[in-house]
Amino acid sequence: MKYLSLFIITIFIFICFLFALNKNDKDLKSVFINKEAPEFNLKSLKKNNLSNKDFENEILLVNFFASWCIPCIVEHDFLFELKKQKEIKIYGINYKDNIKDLENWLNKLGNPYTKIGIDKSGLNSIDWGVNGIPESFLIDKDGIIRHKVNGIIDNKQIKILIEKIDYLEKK
Amino acid sequence: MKKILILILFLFSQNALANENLDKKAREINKKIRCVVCQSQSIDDSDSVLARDLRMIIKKKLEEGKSEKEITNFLANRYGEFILLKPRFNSKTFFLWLSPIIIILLGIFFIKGVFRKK
Repeated sequence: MKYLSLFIITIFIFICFLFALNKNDKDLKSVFINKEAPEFNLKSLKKNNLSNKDFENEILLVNFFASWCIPCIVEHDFLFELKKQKEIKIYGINYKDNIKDLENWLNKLGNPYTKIGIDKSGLNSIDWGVNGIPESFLIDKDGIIRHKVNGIIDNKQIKILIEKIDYLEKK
Repeated sequence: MKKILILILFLFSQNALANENLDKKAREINKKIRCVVCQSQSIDDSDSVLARDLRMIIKKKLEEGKSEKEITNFLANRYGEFILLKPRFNSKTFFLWLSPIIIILLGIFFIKGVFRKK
């Protein structure tokens, strides 16, 4: 009996370690979930700056991306797909990019963004706790971050995002 | 003239010493900060873009006169406790810190129980 309980405890500890080791980085939640979006004010690709003032009274998505980022190319079509399935504004924050490369990229692939803020130094992205790009934040009407997508927005993530947006709209 | 030269040399050496101390302090902090995009590396060991940016921020904050606590708070407020290689003792991490003691105590009670029965 005593050996059985020892065996059970050992297996339990082993499972705990196994679970901890296999925890995917993508499962890590942002500390900003259910908190206000960080304050920022960035130069925009076009005329006006992009800041928190743009985020008033609507549900929107903030997407961190760059033209040199290969996964961002993969994600780009899915952003159009998301907009096709759900009417939502997508604001882009361009991370450490060359403006000419960005413009060429948008001309070639299309522009799904309502407005693009330029984060040349990458410091604004650190204020948002961005680990790498692409990363996206779903923000509600009150400017509160409700969901974060680490990595590419694909069909699976579109489904999750639409569910979250529907829930926020009903709220 | 000689006095001015000595004064310039003195000021220059003081500045160099202050920079050296700042670099040393920055590296000490860098070693305690996790590179969140790497596998079990500190930002001091990593050459990732994010690690480089974080090293730059830490040095800038030290130059602004911020303390180590203020800098770690700044980073933890953005990336969570996960960014600290040695998590702080608080309501969220107390079980993490106390679990080794709890496991050792359970082990002692278990072994004691086994020997008592024998």
